[in-house]
Order: sequence, then C-alpha cells, then structure tokens
Amino acid sequence: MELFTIYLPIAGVHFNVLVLLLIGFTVGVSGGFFGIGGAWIATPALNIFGLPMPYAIGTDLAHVGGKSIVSTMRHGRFGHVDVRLGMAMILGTTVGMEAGANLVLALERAGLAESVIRKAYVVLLVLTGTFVMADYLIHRRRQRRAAAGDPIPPPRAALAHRLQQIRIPPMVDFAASGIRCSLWLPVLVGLATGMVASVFGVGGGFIRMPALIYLVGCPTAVAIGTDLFEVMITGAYGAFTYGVKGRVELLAAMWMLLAAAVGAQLGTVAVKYVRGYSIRLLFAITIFVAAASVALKQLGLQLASSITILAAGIGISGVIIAQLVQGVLDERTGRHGPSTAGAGPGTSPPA
Amino acid sequence: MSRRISVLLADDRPARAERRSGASGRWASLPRRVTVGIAALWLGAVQALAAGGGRPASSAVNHADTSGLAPGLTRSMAELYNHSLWLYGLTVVVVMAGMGLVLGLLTDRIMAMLGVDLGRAARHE
Repeated sequence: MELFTIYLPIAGVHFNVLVLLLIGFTVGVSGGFFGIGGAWIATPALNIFGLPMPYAIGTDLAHVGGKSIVSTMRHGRFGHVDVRLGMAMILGTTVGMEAGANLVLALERAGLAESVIRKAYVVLLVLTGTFVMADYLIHRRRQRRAAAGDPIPPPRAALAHRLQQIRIPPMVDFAASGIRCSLWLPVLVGLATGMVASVFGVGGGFIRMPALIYLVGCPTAVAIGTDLFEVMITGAYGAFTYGVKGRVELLAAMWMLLAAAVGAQLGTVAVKYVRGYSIRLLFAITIFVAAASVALKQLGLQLASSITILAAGIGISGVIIAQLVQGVLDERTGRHGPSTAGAGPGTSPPA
Repeated sequence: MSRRISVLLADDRPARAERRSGASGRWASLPRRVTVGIAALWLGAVQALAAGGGRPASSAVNHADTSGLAPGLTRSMAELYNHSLWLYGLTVVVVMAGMGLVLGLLTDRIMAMLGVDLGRAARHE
C-alpha cells in the first residue's frame, strides 16, 4: 500500500490515493444521481482517513466545484437544467444563507446553538426522508390500484401546483421545468432552503432537490440538474474562499476529482434510466442513513457515524451503477424504459 | 467569548425605548447597531475559523514544508501556497474548473464510445 501513498504538503500528512479515488467516485456517483454536493459523505470520510477537518472541508468543497461541472454539463445536454430557475434560486439562497447565519448568532446568544442545531438537523432529515418516502408509497399504491383495475381517487392538488397559482408579478415561464409561476416562488424557496443550509452548515443540496420537486413543481430530473447548477456555482465560490484561507489540499482534490468525474458521469447518466419516483425512494433511504449518521455523532460516536455514512455512500453508489448497467442493457436489447428501483415483480409501469 | 457578546446584547430595553422616542432614537441606536454588526462579523469569523475556513493564519501556520520534496507538481503547489494564498485560491478554482471541463468532455466521449445513448432524455416520473 506504500506504493499508493502520497504526501500532501499543505496539510502535511500522508494519504492513500486509492482512498481518495474511492471517496471521489462514491461522492461523484451519488452527487450526479441525486443532484447534491455530497459533503456529508466526503468530509467525514476524508477526516477519518487522516486529513484534518479544516482541510477535509476545503478539499471537499474544491472537488465539488469541479465535479458539479461534469454533472451539470451532462444534465444540461439531457435538458435537465433550468438555468433561469437556478439563477432565481441562487438569488434567494444567497439572502437565505445570510439570514441563516444571523439565526445561528441569535441561537448563540441564547446559548442554544450547539444542542438545538444538531437535533433540529436530525429532525429535518427524518421529516424530509419520511415525506419523500410517503410520497413514493402513495404513488406505488396508486400504481397497484391502476394495475388491478380499481378506481383511483383523483389526486389532491399538489402543494407545488397550489403555490404556482399564486399570481404575484412578475410571472415567469421556466421552460425547461415546464412550469409558470411567480418569480417569488423559487426566490422564496431558495431563501428558505439557503437559510436552513446555513443554519446547519451544509451545502443544502439534499434540501433544495426535494424543495424543487415538492414546492416549485419541477420534474425530478430537472430538480436534480438545476440543483447541480447551483451546487456548481456555490462549489466554485467555496473552492476559492477556502483556497484563499489556505485550507484546500489541491493535490488531494485533483485525485478526488479524477474519480469523481467518472462517478458523476455515471450517476448523471443513470438518471436517464431510472424513474423519478425510484430516484425519490433511493433519496429517502440515503436521507435516513444521513440522519442516523448525525444521530450517532450527537451520541458522541464520531467514528461509527463516519463509517456509517461512507459505507452507505458506497452501497447507494453500487445500486445506482447497477441501475445504470441494467438500463443500458435494456436499451441495447430494445426494451428501453426506465427501471423502477424498489418495484416488486408483477407491478405495472407508472402511468 | 460568546457569553460576553450575549451580555452585550441581552438587555436592549434602553435601545428600544430610544427607538420609540422617534428619529433621534434611531440615530442614538446607531452605535449599538454598529457594535452588533461588529460582534456578528467577529462571531461569524470565529465560527468560520472553527470550521476551518477562517482568515489566513500566520505564515507559521499556513506554510507547507517543501524541504523534502523533489521538483515537480507537488513541490510547485507547495511553493505557490507559500508564495501567495490569493494566487493559490485562484489556482484552486482554475484547476478544478479546468479539470471539470476536460474530464466532463472526456467521460462524455467514453460513454458515447461505449454505446450509451447520450441524446436528450425523456422525463419519466
């Protein structure tokens, strides 16, 4: 293993290249597939393998910027990036992050920051995961009823649909998403998600992606691509600011990006072969694992927390690649159609 | 330190009374706002530093040891880091963006060569 060990002069540590490649690949696959940066996998993983936490954060942010370019380019070619929507979200996110920082200060003043934030983070993850999972299960039940020929009650107007009906000028067409709504809707959603991300000290992709689906009304694939567009810009800014502060180990980031680019390409192309609801199911599972990891950290089990999240990342990446391979094989045999992860045998495809 | 700031900010009744008293109250509360602003900035900086992203530390901290490094990429990076953090930060962005672009195009090509259909994708919910 000595052969694969390199010296990282900025952090002043020796690190195994294979570990960097593994972490990069895992984060690349899941990031490209779910539309997230993946800092919650990469940062603890880099840290447990020996990179000091400040460098782990900066190095992860730097490679996220590069990796998101790969994913955004591919999603863009698939028609999954709504640039106009992304810009509106960025506007709101920027303000929201500032507001979130002020909220953290208020909690600091009340002496509640540490305890409240981490507990609230776990609750938010569990709620998000539960909401997405419930949505998936309702969708599956409707599918089964349709397959059995049972009458299906008309679906209730989704929250996103109701929000789109609010006519506050300027009304904007978001062509790539196929929606028309007030500009204030994505701005305010960006503001809310930015605030939450800032309070919890995370990139926020895991909140923005479901928010784009359930609040703005984006199709799943467009939510992923548009979120990655935003991650690309925030990642580039993060890379710069951490670089200037001397907290980026560029050599490590380059090795990670080599593997992350391949992973991001695979994860992004996999979106094409997996139905939106199946992506939501995998996303919900990932969110639950992240919640478990944060809960373990809260209990003081730092190592168990990091190992849990890294193992889950590798597992989820394996599932995504399996879905991709299956999709490509089906395409070649002329049975092209997005697969339904988690769908049992004998179920009909979604209507 | 955060407790000291809490004490500083805890009792805002006089300031509120001043605000109620009209325009002069608003101006009178300006120093307090400035204090709060500075405190907020300072707290933010401390938090960022705690997270690893604070202001550049002294050169003794932000210094890469190049003595044992052979000439090459690693040494060049370390020397750039020691020379100027601004230039290093800029290099990080340029390298990451450049690598992202090149690798994106390269992996795209490889996927196409493997026979994966990379045309515009239909959306399936």
